[in-house]
Amino acid sequence: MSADLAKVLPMNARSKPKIVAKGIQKSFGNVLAMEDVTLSIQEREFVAIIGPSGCGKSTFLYLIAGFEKPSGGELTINGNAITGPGPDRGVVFQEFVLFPWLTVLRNITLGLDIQGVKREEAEARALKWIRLTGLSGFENAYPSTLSGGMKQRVAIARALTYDPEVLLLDEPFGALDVQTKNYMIRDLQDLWQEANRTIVMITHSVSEAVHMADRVVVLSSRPSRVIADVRIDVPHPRDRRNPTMHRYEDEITAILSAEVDKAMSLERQIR
Amino acid sequence: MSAADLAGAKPLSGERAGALLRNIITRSGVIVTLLMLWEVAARLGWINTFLFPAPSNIAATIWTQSGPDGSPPYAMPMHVLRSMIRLLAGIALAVVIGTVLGVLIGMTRWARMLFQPLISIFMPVPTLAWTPVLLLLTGIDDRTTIIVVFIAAVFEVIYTIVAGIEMMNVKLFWVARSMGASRLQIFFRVIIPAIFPYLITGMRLGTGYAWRALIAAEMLAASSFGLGFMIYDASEYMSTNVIYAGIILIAVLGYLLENVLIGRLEAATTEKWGIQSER
Amino acid sequence: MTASRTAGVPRQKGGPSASPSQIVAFVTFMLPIGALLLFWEGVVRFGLADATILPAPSMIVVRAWELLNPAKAERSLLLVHIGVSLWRALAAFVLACLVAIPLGFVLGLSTGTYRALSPLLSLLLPLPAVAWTPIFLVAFGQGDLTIIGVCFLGAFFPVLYSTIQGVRGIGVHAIWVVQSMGAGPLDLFRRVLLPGALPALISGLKLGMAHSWRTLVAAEMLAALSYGLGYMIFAARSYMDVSTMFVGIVCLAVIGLLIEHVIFGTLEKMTVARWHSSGKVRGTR
Repeated sequence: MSADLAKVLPMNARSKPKIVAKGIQKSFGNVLAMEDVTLSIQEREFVAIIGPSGCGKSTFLYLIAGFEKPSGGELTINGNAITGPGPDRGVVFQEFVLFPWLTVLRNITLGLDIQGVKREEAEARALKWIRLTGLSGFENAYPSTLSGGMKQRVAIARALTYDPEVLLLDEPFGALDVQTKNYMIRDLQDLWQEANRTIVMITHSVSEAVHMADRVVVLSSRPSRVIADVRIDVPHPRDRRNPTMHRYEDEITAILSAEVDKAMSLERQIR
Repeated sequence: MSAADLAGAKPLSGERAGALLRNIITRSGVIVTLLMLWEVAARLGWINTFLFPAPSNIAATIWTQSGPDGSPPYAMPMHVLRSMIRLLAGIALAVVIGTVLGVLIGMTRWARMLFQPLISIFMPVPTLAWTPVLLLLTGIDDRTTIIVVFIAAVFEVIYTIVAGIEMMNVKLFWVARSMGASRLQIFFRVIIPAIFPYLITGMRLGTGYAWRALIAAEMLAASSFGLGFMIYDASEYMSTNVIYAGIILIAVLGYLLENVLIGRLEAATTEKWGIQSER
Repeated sequence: MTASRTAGVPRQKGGPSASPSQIVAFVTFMLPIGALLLFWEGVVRFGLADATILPAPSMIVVRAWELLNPAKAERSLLLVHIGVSLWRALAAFVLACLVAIPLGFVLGLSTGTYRALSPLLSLLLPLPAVAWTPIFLVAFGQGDLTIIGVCFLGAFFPVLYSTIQGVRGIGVHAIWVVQSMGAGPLDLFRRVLLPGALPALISGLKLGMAHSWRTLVAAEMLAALSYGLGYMIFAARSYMDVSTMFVGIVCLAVIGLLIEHVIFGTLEKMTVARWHSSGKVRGTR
């Protein structure tokens, strides 16, 4: 229903909130990982969530995906509470999680296969994303023969092919070496524009966040809260050498390192 | 202070002991429940007590057979002791011979070319198939069972040691050589310490196989003592109490040998040498 | 895992269509074996060993030929022994799989049940299946029921353990991926759990069959009434017929190897190996 609605709405309907988190709490046993995360993500917005390591960024993504349940607070998508995983939200994990027994093409069409879409139609729909992720020619390869960067392209194409409203990226470039990562960020710039949907990306790299996202949300160290919310006002495609971007990077890095310092000194006190 | 609590500072030792106790209770919970159900079912006559005697009866058998009233007196400890002596002798033999062969195969071309084919034709033979042949060669005495234990354990020792040598960092040799170490020095100061954790792993796996083989070999080839002999002998007299007592002892001893005794040793060496990170 | 037991030291292969380097490898592989056989033959022929206790390889071959009785294949004693043994080991193995695989999936998926049962499993796992023989003997006497029962227990635990490990090794992220695509329980099983557990499952089947085969020898020695390779070996002992014992040993080893390499090797090539290597060839067009 809402997917159709989104397609009809013009671009200026961006102010419509897609995902709303109100006072989210999450604890594991007696460790409080998250206290009061409040955040609203608009329709077709690309939001990067960044924070010190171990702050529970990925946990927040798993809450949106419905893999885990919040211990307190309210989490909604299109105004409905999230109760579990569903095909309206596609996920890309840091460690790719491809199925070694399926070829690249079968991995990508898996979501449509599960939904019972005919094989020819599924392959036709996959074609666009195979092209945009630069996987043409690798359709019949098995994942074990691909490099890390190629594997991540497969995972991204797989998540986009079954057409979810929201794309959830869990440190998508975290397992790649720096050169591959930089190349992928540049190479996939058009893809996000073409995908044109709500994207939430978890990352620990400031430059990655600033280059890709419309908005960067900074979480504090555990137990986490939102400590900064920065809109990146630079049009796409973005250039690495743009001085405005460097200012954004510096600003966010400053907030983040202050938070890391605080966490480190706290840790020393405990020891 | 509150931050310390959040970070999960070390709990008090009393709490720890409590947690340990809880752990033991929950871990053995299913076994205890099953034993109780069995006991109740046996007492109420729901199951055939000849084939499934009550656990309390089995325990009583273990108790009497362990004391001066057993037949023969102190039978149970004697059976256990005899099995253990055979196991230890066979394992010791397997460790010594297996280490020498493993190092030779791992380090020299000629030994690899000579022994690898021989090992691969002898390994697929089920260990126990040798028992009748050994019985003819040596007669019914401890030698047959000890050799069966040796055969069951030695391939595993050789295999892990060869793997350990292949994992070894070649630069360790270079360093030792450049210091002017002799072959003997390299063997004792570089190779043996480097393969030690693998040797322990091989010993653990080998002991597991050897224990199984020993019990079966004792059923076939022992004339007076040993747990395998005890249960087979009991089957001729239809004394199921003794058979179950034997099975329980075999299970518990096997678990203790493989997981607790050598498992601890393995954990300690792996931790100390840190081979996990080198792999 | 204890799979390394049957994996063994890598062996070379040779064949009619082998390349020159493969032929050289085959010859160097067979050389020590041939030398051993020649040495053994020589020792017996020159009277350095008692032929009644250690028969020469040639005598063993002759005995095998007699037992095989190729002139009247329908009355070949050796083939009967082999057939009976194979039937028992396979029956026990199939029964073990039918129980162990479903149970393994249940235990692999439910962490609570697995935790509760794991102390019991870790006690039963190192327990040799042969140790149950006396109970079976008391209950059923000598015969097929006892032998198959013991072999069943021998095969059951490796298959169960591997299935549990295979399912638990799949990782929650892989399950999450298909769940987020809207997969139901059936899809989850068919598309992720079964193929994901397959590599471990196959090595468990291999191990289970090997255990069944190895346990069979002991069980047949203890409980067979008339036929089977284990019975043949043990019975030959009463007549001091060492040649027949060696024929039995060779048959046990060869059949064990054939089961492992031909049946399970093919199974692995058809599934696991394809996912991990041959894609290279077909990867780039």
